[in-house]
Amino acid sequence: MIATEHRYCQENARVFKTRVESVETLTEDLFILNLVGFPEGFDPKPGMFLHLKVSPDEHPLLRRPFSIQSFRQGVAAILIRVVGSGSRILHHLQPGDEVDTLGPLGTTFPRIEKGDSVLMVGGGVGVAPLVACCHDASQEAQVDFCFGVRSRAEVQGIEGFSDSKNPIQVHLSSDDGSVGYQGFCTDIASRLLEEKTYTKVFTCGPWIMMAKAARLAQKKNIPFFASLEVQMGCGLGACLACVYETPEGDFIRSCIDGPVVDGHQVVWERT
Amino acid sequence: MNRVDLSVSIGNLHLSNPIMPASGTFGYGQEYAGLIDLNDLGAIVSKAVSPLPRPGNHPPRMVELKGALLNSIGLQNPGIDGFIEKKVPFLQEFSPPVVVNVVGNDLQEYLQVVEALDPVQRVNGFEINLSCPNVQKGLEFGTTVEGVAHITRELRAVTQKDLWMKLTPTVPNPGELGKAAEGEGADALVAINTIGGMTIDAEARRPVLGAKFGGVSGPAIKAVALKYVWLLYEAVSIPIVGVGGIFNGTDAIEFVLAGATAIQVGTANFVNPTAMPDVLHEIEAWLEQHGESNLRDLIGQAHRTQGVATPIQNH
Ligand SMILES: Cc1cc2nc3c(=O)[nH]c(=O)nc-3n(C[C@H](O)[C@H](O)[C@H](O)COP(=O)(O)OP(=O)(O)OC[C@H]3O[C@@H](n4cnc5c(N)ncnc54)[C@H](O)[C@@H]3O)c2cc1C
Ligand SMILES: Cc1cc2nc3c(=O)[nH]c(=O)nc-3n(C[C@H](O)[C@H](O)[C@H](O)COP(=O)(O)O)c2cc1C
Ligand code: FES
Repeated sequence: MIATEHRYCQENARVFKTRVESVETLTEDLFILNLVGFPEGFDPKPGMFLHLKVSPDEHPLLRRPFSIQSFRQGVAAILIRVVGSGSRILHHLQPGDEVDTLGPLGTTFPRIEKGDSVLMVGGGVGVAPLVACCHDASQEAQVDFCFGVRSRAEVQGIEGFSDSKNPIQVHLSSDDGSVGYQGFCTDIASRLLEEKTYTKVFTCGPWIMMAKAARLAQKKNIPFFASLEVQMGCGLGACLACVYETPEGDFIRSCIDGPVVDGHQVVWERT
Repeated sequence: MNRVDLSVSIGNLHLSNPIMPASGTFGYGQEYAGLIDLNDLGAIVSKAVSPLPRPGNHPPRMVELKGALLNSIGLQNPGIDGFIEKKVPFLQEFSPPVVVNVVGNDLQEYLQVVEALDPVQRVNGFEINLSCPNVQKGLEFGTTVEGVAHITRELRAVTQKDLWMKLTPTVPNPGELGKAAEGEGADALVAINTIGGMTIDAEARRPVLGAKFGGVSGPAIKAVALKYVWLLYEAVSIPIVGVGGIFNGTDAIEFVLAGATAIQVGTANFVNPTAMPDVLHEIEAWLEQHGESNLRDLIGQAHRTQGVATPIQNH
């Protein structure tokens, strides 16, 4: 479901304790947290996120939102960049540690159906919800997945996509040229948009990257879905901290009416 | 049946227990309805209602500090009509009394909201927000004895429903302000609102919040709120609703001992969506553990306890 109307509450959200199954360190500041112990019926859709209380202490006080990259056989994989105290605490968790978890929260990307041709633009940890979309995609769709990383060591989550039967074509780019094209993933996206016709564009990642993707999608007038990573409070739609601005000047809650929103309805220019 | 009696009365309202949300941290109830049973609350306090819809402030609107939050939401709300059309029907489904938090830019706006909502049956009372550190003009009524007396008198004249005055924390004379409200017929006092503050991003060399200033809430303000409640209790005999940094049952008991009849849970709802029922159960457990059967016996008890506290033992 995409945010066209304001939602009443996060219908399926529950608070529960998950357990750390493992922590896989990818680089100095990037890791995958695998969580288990989800309640019966827990069924996140691509784009949804978990709101984690990283420590029972008063600091960090608020929960921290993280997209679910995959949920398979009861294990939720979360790709996390260490940027501050909360993510650092998560990185130091040990197998068996409990995590106070709220979820699943938020809106989802539309499912990639038979006949769809989707261009994805994802950077850094922003690839997580896009990877989730790929797992869920129809085998009779076509996806060009432009995936920008800092370096080769950050490439993850796409194992299996290179299988030739798979409809997903990965186009890597890196800041340091250690893998794929050296430069921005939006450069590849821009080229692909000139060569092919797409039914949808999906994006998630740094704001500047998404803003570039927005201009590309706008130019071609293609339905455009963006997963916003606005700083959050409650995650439930109550505090009104997480708003983004629409061209009409409304402030919409990105936790409940997002994080996946109609990207044409976002003011991307920031002062 | 409960072994301990948690019910309290405030003005004309009888609450099955003393726990309610702090305005602005619980929306209009809908957002939490899937996670807790709203019928377990003592009352439901709404987010602010102003005469017309307000868009709120530019983001960023919330920053986390050590043990506290700083917010500049800017009282975003759907206005009187939006509240009646969209929120009241939902609230009809639940039994706890509904207290509407009221804001305005001037006295006329406060009167407008109260007059418009007075006939709405589901609305049982009004909580008048006399301080909004993130809205410029709310302040003058809130900081002087004359101001508080004047607005209370004017509002008292237009409603028979319960009138709670939510006082501003940054004043030197809480007791006098409380007395002024009591003298003009307020049914209860609510203390405290957020405390004005700001934070600056040294790298960017500018304020972090879009609105520059915001209000501080959470564990860090508990001590300030407790003292305020204490001072009000010494000054007035109407009930006091304590709010500020309440995260668990012991926090709540401390407010009751300082003089609060009921308590509001704010920031804690963001951290733990089940904070209110959790606090309630913890209060109940505390009373049982301490051989108490009635919460009301504890109201203001710390004022009457003789002697000094036992020194803290180092283990
Ligand atoms: C819906 C959603 C999904 C997200 N998914 C992921 C994910 O899959 N993986 C991941 O690593 N991160 C994700 N994030 C971002 C993540 O929530 C933040 O990085 C995290 O909360 C930072 O917490 P911290 O305590 O480590 O840092 P803090 O100490 O809180 O902040 C450190 C720095 O990070 C910045 N920051 C904090 N929160 C955000 C944010 N939401 N967006 C951008 N910058 C922020 C701060 O401004 C500050 O400069 C997501 C955010 C949202 C809203
Ligand atoms: C995000 C947020 C929004 C708030 N909105 C309102 C409001 O609309 N009206 C009001 O009177 N108080 C508002 N408050 C203040 C709270 O009701 C409460 O007085 C304050 O947060 C202190 O309690 P706490 O420490 O438990 O949060 C708000 C507080 C927060 C954190
Ligand atoms: S995080 Fe509270 S409304 Fe979105």
